[in-house]
Amino acid sequence: MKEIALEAHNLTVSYHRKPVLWNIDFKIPAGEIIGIMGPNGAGKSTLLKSIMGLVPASSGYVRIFNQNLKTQRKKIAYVPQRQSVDWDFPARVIDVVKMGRYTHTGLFRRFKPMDYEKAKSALEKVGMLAFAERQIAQLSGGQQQRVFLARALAQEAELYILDEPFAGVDAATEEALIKIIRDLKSQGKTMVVVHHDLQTCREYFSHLVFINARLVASGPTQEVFTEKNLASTYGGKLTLLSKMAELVAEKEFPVREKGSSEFKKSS
Amino acid sequence: MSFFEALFQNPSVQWVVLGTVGLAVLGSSVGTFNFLQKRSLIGDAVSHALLPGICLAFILKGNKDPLALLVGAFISGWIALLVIDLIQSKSKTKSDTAIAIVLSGFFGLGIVFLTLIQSSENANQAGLDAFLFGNAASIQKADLLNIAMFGSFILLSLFLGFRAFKALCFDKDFIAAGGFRVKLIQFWLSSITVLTICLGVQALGVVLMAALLITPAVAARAWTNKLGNLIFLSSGIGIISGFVGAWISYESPSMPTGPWVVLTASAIVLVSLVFSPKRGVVPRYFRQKANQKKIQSENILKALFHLEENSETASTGYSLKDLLSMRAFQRDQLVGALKALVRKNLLLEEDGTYSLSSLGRQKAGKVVRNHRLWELYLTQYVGMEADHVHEDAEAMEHLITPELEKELSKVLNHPEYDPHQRQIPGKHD
Amino acid sequence: MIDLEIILTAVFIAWACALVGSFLVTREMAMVGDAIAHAVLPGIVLAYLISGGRDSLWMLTGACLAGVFVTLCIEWVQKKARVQSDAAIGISYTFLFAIGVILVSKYGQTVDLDQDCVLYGEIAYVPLDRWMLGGLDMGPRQTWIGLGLFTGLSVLIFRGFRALTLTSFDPSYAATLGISVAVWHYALMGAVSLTTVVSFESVGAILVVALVVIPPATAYLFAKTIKNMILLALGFSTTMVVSGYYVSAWLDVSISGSMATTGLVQFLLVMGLKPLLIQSEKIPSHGLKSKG
Ligand SMILES: Nc1ncnc2c1ncn2[C@@H]1O[C@H](COP(=O)(O)OP(=O)(O)O)[C@@H](O)[C@H]1O
Ligand SMILES: [Mg+2]
Repeated sequence: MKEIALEAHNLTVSYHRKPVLWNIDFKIPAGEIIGIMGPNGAGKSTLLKSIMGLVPASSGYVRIFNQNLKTQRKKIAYVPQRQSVDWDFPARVIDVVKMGRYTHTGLFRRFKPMDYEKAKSALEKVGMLAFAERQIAQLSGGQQQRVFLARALAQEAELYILDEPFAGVDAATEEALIKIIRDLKSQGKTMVVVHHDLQTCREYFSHLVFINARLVASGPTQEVFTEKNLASTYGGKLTLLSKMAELVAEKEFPVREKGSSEFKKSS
Repeated sequence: MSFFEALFQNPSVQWVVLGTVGLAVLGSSVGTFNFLQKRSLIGDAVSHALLPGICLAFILKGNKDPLALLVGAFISGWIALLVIDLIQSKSKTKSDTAIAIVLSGFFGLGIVFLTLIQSSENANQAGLDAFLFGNAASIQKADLLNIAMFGSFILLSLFLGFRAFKALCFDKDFIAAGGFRVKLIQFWLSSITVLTICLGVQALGVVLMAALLITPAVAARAWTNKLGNLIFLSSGIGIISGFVGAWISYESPSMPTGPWVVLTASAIVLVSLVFSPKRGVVPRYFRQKANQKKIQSENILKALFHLEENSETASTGYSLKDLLSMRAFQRDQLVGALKALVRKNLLLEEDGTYSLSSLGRQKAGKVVRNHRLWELYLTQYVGMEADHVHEDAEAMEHLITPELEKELSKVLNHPEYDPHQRQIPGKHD
Repeated sequence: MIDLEIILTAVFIAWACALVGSFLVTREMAMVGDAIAHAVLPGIVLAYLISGGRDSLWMLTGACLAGVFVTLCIEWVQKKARVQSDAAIGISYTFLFAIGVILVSKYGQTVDLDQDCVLYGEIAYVPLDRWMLGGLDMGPRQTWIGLGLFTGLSVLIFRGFRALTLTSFDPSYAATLGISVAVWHYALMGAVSLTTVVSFESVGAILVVALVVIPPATAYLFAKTIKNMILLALGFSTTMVVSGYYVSAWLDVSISGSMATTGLVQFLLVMGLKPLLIQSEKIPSHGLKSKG
């Protein structure tokens, strides 16, 4: 088997104690383009946030290249959903892309000429070099998405995690983005992409992860892209699972017993 | 004269108390709607922004005619509202910034007017300071008349417009539809909000009137979800706060009234946020503690159940050591928990060994049943591997209610075996 | 000379306010600034009472603690008691302000602090309080304090520029780079409290907010970068303070009140004139314009 870029082990994630992801458990091979699919509210963004350590897990863990996230930060670049920031913020395109270099320069060290070069070349790759000095408030949705990807590119990571990069962008941008994603793949990078279009997903991704509050399936596209998996992913939430989630939140119940992993197995 | 004697004998004390309480009712009921609309801080801004209008009315009229001041305040409050809206619609300024700009800018203008009045040595000016920190003792018969008149109008509006205002707070479709009707209702709500603040600032002060719009509503929200109850409860909290505030400032005349009203309301909010059964922090803590206890005692029952299940011969009882071999219980906690279970007739104790009573066995059987049903559900429906489901079931077994258990059993077609091929105990065995 | 001393003091303080205010405005935390400004009142009075005098160090500490305390309060109410943010701000600061007003009316005499001072500040009296260094008159104490504050904050903002900018723009992304969002949040809140306390004596509790919020908000209307915004805010705060001072001298009214008023007028003017001044830079873009 290939090297594992990302592993989620029995990951349960809750907001205000209410689990929105249950026992998610999958492995993602390095050097592939992986699609994460699921309906709205399935918990795709939550999964990514939990992978990036932004939302704590109620149970389970995530491993990046078989290591703890903390030691791997430099190897992983996150592209949040475009809507997650305020684009009225006073900044130019180049300022945003330069943020991606902070993993290398730190917060206090001066930028070297090389850092500027890398930021510029990231912009060039996404076709936005001409817009470097433009204020971000003046960008279209597609251009915003390109800038976000450029910021991640400037990070020069091994594993890229993109939340809905194709949502609400024009066709030209989608094409440009997928081309960059493929380029990165051919350089041996691992690309994890949240996506919602069933039409294109077979064409884009070699591996798929279907989630809807729970993991429905994960694996090579030709194996898991089946009627059955689609039906269970998009056929709505499992009523019993939702009811349990409500109950957990209402009764303030722990989703794991205290120190349960030490317990002897005896069901 | 004590406060309560005065309350029955001295009309001016009666005015003060009635006025403060009346204002508290108005503020807290109108404030509830603002709170639900997430417009609480706008009330804050409006309350600061009344000052220039009040001062200007005073300058124009030359005396402290309550009605004139009220009109001045009302106009200036409305202008502030409009400016906040204007800033947000004409620029990319965010709402909190717009509010802060208007709040501080208008207030500054008010201070300018106030110092203008002070420097013009008008004999009547002393009273205007009251608008800053509030002075309920200054409530006169004429003020009370205003409060009563406009107050009944406000309450009547709330009563008649209840459904419309409710829609404005909760019904997204209604708001999304927009149009003239929504604008009109919003206009009406804003107007009575401004009017309420205008009535209240003199007695309670600028900042503290704003508090009255927010604090009782937050406190009430901790106890109820229904709009009707919310308004009554919040008014009740307003009444208590107003009364206590008036009382304290009677006992200690140098004290402004507003802060005491707010402090009382704040105390109530604190108690509510900490103790309310559903949302309170302390009950939540105890719920979690109780959960831990429930988990532990059910785990003990379960351990004994498994010991019985695994042993060939019927044993009379199991020792602490046996139990500890089943599960990593904390020894001292275990001893205490065992005693409690014996008291509840779930366990039988004999010479330091424990066995399940029939009641205990039934209960333990249910827990084991829940565990195995949940494991089965996780493998069959959630698509988990059989070797991954144990930990989850270990927690959920304690949570599954009888209704959920029935549902699970039905969905799984009343199964007999769990994913590890162990028998699922029936409901009544 | 007296004019100059007052103006200089006001300018330094306004600059300090503009520095922290720029980040508050971009973080949509203007009203948290307002909350802090009100909440330092009880801190100041308590510090007076404990230290038994107008010892600046005590006062600064007390008020800063109160400022940070109110942000903690807001957070507790929001996160633990799950109250919506605007209401959380409202109940927290009015509570502390009420305590402050009560303390002022009870102990105002002893601590030499009256309600007027809370509201208007005493910037007119700044020249009376001199800093004597070995018998040499160095000028008003407040002016130096203002300058010191501005210098200190400049260093903080300069050093923390990347972190403050990034955590304002995209806190989640900042966290994925391993930057502690909370540390910078509290550093900023501490700085806001400090600024508020120092300004409080000069301009009063409520008008500090005008200095903190209005110039950055004016700059925000057309600043291209955050650096740009800070510089513009410094400029706008200068014009606001200077014109405010002269208006107040002309009409013989409260200095701080007049500054807040000129600030508001300046903001509205800039907002109204912006479409005329700056030709719309809207570009035909090949993508869909998103609201995001
Ligand atoms: N910050 C939050 N607080 C509470 N609930 C949240 C929060 N963010 C998301 N949720 C809930 O978690 C679920 C999953 O959301 P999300 O991960 O955004 O889904 P997706 O990205 O698949 O559309 C949704 O039901 C959503 O309402
Ligand atoms: Mg999402």
